[in-house]
Amino acid sequence: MSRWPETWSCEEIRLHVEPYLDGELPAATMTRMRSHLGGCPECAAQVHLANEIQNELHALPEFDIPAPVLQRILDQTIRAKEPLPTRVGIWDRWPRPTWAALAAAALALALGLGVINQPTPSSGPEPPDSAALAQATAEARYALAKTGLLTRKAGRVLHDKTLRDQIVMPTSRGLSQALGSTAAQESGVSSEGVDDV
Amino acid sequence: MTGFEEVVSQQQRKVYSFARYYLGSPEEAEDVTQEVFLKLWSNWRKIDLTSVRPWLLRVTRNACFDRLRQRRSSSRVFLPESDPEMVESSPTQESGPETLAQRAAFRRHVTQALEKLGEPYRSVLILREIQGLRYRDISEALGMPLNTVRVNIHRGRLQLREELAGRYDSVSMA
Repeated sequence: MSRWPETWSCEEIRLHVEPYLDGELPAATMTRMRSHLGGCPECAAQVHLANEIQNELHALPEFDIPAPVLQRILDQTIRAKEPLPTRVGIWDRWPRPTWAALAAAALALALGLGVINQPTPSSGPEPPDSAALAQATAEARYALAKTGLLTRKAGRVLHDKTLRDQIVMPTSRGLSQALGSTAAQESGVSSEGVDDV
Repeated sequence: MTGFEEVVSQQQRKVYSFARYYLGSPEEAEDVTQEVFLKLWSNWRKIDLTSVRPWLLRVTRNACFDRLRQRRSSSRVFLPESDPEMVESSPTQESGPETLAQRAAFRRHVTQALEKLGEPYRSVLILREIQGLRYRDISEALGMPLNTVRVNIHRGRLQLREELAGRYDSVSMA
């Protein structure tokens, strides 16, 4: 049994104006509607109104975000020298120092090790010399070691096995060798400092 | 430009425009957009970048919905005003101040009627009729089956028409 009746009341016609405009009714139904609309000014006016509404919606523009807002976004993210602020919003489910420190430390290490390629503008500052690079690397490694301490103190575990096994643990061992066991103790990073899940 | 900046550059227009039409307020749309991209930043390592736009639109819609709930629960009365940029930005081909004034008024009434729509109609109409997303993209962004997207778009437009029918019993836009 077809769900599309042979004859529709004006009320039923008006409920199907939108799919009619989109051509989504069966062909026979489309024909019957056209036939009805040809002889019913009220229903035809509804179709006209629906068409005008759709045209108006299609003509509405999209907008670019104002430049100052874009700058604020970038300043708080990719350009931030500090970890993310402590109160950001409803998605702040983890102790802020842990995840913010992880993100900052990973970024600092990647920059220090030259993993992230810096953009090469046609004119810009000279690449850092070896002394500056060594300092940045040391700072990044210290930040990672500190991350281990913060993680342990916050009672969290590093669920990311890759981050733990390939970056944090090797870095902490390297730091302890470079700086001596005292510094490693102070940083609190050890094989027990990053707990297994 | 880093990957994150590239995503922000490519997607900010869709995110901000959605929020602006949803909330009817450029200022609140700016706040939501900032919130959304900060959330993207904090989830950057976990996001599947091949579907970042649906993710962003879903987060934007949820943030806008939360804002509306806060509005309703607060004692402040929020009166959505016509956004001058929305009303004036799209040029019309017809000449004559009467026609331009009529079109501007119609546009204002359409956008006000849009802001009165409930969910999911408001979201699907913004995504489809204003931003031109495909049914499949809307389905992914809102977590809605394809056919449900189509039905909701039709119902949303029907509600707009019913809202405006009293004011525009016979339309003369020529």
